[in-house]
Amino acid sequence: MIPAFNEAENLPAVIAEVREKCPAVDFVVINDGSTDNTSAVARRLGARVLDCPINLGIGGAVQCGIRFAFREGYDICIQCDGDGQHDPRWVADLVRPIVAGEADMVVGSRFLVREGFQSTGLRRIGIRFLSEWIRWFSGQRVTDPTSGFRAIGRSLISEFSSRYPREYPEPESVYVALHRGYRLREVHTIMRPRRSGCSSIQQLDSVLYILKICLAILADRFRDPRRVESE
Amino acid sequence: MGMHKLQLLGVIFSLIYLAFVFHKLRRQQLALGRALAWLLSGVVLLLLSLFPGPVTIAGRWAGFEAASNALFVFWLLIMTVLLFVQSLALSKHEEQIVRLAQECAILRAKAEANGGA
Repeated sequence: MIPAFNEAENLPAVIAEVREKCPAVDFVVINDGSTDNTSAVARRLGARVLDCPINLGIGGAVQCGIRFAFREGYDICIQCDGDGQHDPRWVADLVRPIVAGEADMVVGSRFLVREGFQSTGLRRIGIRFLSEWIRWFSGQRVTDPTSGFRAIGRSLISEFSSRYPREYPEPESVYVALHRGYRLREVHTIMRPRRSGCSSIQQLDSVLYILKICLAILADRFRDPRRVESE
Repeated sequence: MGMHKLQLLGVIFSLIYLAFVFHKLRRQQLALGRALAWLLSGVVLLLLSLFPGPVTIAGRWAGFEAASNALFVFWLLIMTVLLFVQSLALSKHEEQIVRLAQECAILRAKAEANGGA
């Protein structure tokens, strides 16, 4: 799934690349209430589109895709951002540990091997801090918890379609998965700077933002796992 | 016994407050379920303004210098609770709206796949 908010400019290249590099993968564009013609562009290119009637934010949009995957009976759901940061040539690596039954969630990390777009200095420190925070609570080191390039298997598709963190979905979902005992693995990916437009997590370099994520993860730590609404 | 100025103000304010809530209720801009808490708090304020005795006694017992202070704190507490309840309701509604939007998107895509829409 390709979550997209005002990505009309980037989508043609992203879709073409997905088709070229992952011809066997079904993909769907999740238009998160864009104000540009993201939906029309995706449709013109023959993509399946989930049009959220209002802007739900990245968490709500991603959950929309996960629910769709759940209903359609998919075994693996891959998330690849609509801004061109994520090169679909890594999709096979993301999927492999799930197919092999070795992981329930696979995150593409740009920090396992220091290659390609490494994000800006301050932001990297923030991610580092988050990573330590998650390790403190989960016992597992995740080098790139903010990465939106990831894949989940059927068990997590089911879990996340009933409840998915919405405030800071990337790091929170990593933590929630670990906390509930799912197996998470990171694989090496090389990321690119986004093609055009601006990221949804612009403020990641701010201390306040990091603090908020840490707080959200802390809240997830003590959340009652039983109150999961049924479908 | 005469009425304190403060008491009079309390009565006037609570009457205006109640009238306003009632007005909104009549024009169906406020759901009855949500209006109940506001109506009740208005009635409590009115009663306490008319009969400050209990507040004075309770306030003295708790160590407040004046009944008005006790009323002030009491009122602050009620408002805090009411506000918190609003936040709870809002959070729930946000969740529900997101769900509805997601369902909308999924159903529309399904309808399109079936050649409809």
